[in-house]
Amino acid sequence: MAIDRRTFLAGAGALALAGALRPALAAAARPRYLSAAATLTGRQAVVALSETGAALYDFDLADRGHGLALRPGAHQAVCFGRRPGTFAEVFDLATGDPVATISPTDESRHFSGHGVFSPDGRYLLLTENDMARRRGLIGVHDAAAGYARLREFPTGGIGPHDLRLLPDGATLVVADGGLDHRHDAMSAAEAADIRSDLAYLDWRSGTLLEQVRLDPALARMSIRHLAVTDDGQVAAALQDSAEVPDGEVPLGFLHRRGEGPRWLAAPKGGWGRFRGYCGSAAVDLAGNVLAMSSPRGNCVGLWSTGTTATVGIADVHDGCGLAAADAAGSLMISSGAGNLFVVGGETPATALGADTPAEFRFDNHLLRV
Amino acid sequence: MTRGLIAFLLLVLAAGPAQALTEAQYANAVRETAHAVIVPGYADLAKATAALHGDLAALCTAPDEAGLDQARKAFAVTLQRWARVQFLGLGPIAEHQRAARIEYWPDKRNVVGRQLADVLARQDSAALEAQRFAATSVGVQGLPALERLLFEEDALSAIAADAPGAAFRCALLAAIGGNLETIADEVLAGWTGGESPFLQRLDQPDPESEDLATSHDAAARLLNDLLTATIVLRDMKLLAPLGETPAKAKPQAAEFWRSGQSLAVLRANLEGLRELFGTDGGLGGLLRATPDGAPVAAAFAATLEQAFLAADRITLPLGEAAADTAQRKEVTALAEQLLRLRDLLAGPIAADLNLPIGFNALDGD
Repeated sequence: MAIDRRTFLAGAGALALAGALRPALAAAARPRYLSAAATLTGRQAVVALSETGAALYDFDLADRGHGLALRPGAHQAVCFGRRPGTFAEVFDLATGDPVATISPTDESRHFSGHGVFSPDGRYLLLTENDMARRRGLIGVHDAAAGYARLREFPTGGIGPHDLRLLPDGATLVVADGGLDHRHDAMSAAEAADIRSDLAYLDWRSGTLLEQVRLDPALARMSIRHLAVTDDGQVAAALQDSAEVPDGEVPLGFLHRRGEGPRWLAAPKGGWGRFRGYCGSAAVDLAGNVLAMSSPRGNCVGLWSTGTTATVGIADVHDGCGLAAADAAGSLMISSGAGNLFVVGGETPATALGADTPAEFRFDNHLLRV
Repeated sequence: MTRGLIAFLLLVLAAGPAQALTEAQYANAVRETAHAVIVPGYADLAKATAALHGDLAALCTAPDEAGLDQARKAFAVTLQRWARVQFLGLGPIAEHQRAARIEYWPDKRNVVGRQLADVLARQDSAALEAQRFAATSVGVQGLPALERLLFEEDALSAIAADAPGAAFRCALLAAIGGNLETIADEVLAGWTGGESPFLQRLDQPDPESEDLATSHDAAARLLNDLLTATIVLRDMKLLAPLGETPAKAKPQAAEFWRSGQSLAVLRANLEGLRELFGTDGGLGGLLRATPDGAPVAAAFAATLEQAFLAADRITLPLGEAAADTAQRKEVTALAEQLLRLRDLLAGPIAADLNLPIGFNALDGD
């Protein structure tokens, strides 16, 4: 197995951080978006952004970050280490000051880069890979007890990545990425049996409620990222693990409990534009428009969550992070070049103002506060 | 700046279809650069930090002008070696925050100053033990902290035998020297030694690897590092101290302004850029082998030459030049050449080499 830079960091523990950096602007403006970022000189950080994209504060991470979660009812947020993650950093939403650092309970475990809070803000639920037993887990941490590990339960699949709570507050939907040949050595027989799935679980009991498995013909497809509408519809964004993506297979579907997946219509120019890779997914505030990004294809596609029809596609270089923008039908896009864009309907993506800090490369996900 | 970035994006998107290069060609290019430039570059850095460590230790046995001068020279040599490889993000340098521990920069919130003051105030000798020091705040571990200690006005009197806290300050100098030497040794060892030397990973990419499955991936990482270099050089090293007007110049935003090494470092950065790109070998050689690549490679070389000439015309220390009406023009001229280099790398060079430009595009999750 190849050892990459993140594996090297696993277990390093006491990494030196630059300490809390006092923001000058934090008192003046409330963070509207959060993102993990790398600076141009290679530091890994979390950045809080104003609605115009100005950096309100940033703080250093021990390693590369990935997804973020907001704690309801408390001014806290969490940034999860990028898979294979060795940390989840809890911080004060207003200032970026550190609150707690959560580490995997064992060296054979790593975080997958995503987590969500229970509706009351008490419990943090995060995706975790158990390498020793080759199973996906949801770890439950108690925010009221210093984020101590409370319990865990299996997702029913392997390689869990993104997860979301449904509007009922009890049902957790998890993207089990499935066969992850980069991290799990498996026999061909084992591999053939393991596919990506969408799992619905009751997080309070850990009960698996429903599992949507992809057709065996789509075994190489991996469900990675999710978005959920206010009426409980789940959007799943996929990645094609084939070396040469076929360009015909849809990279996203919509799903409701008890129904079959509704595959998204091909965007203008075809799925080939996505180069077999979706980086993230988000729905607008009204829940009518789904956006999926492809930093490899330098584009962001928009679809109707009602009809699965394509609504538009915007050219955005290295655009990846997505979050709802203020206007219905609009979404915010963050890019690896350090820009924020707003996109909606068939209009091209509009770059936000000059406030956007050029020193940060926005990493993978954008969270609306 | 944002307008510039948008123009840059349009340019990237306008870049035409690519020529097909083979995996073997990428492999050769990456291998050449790794063996002939990167590893020797890190070996030079390791040598320089070892010498620096020795000079810092010696300085404190009998602090005098000659010893301080020797240590300052060793510091400048280390900066030169570091600047050659400063922008590489590939391999062991990306682990354990090594790059930030060598140089925490930019430091807009005076992290280095605050952390250094804190360490000096606490006088905790146990915290200077090598392993503990390597895990301490990044701001005190590397070159910027050392620069303050060596170049502040009372650098010598503060370590005179009878000065209060002199012994601790000396121990701190030696600790930083030892730490820099250790980090440089670790980087070099990561490339060439151990069970899975990074050099070997580049020579024989592992198709199962997440971020370096092919030599094409490695070439893309290298090209993106070089592109980043042109952006950092222009936006952070030149335009940040320059400010919008002479009155708004920020001399202290220049990198290593305390030691007057800003321009020397920038020049070494350009030399590193030239070597890492390559002329006969490396990405540059690969570019020249593509059907449309020769004129682009020539344009890159000519623009780089113009950048060196522009740097020559800056005769004041960079921070002072930024505040000087006449010299500002020369700083701006250098920034323009860097912009051209950036546009060449992100546009025709990336297109001809068929390499993706981006951050999120490079390794997915």
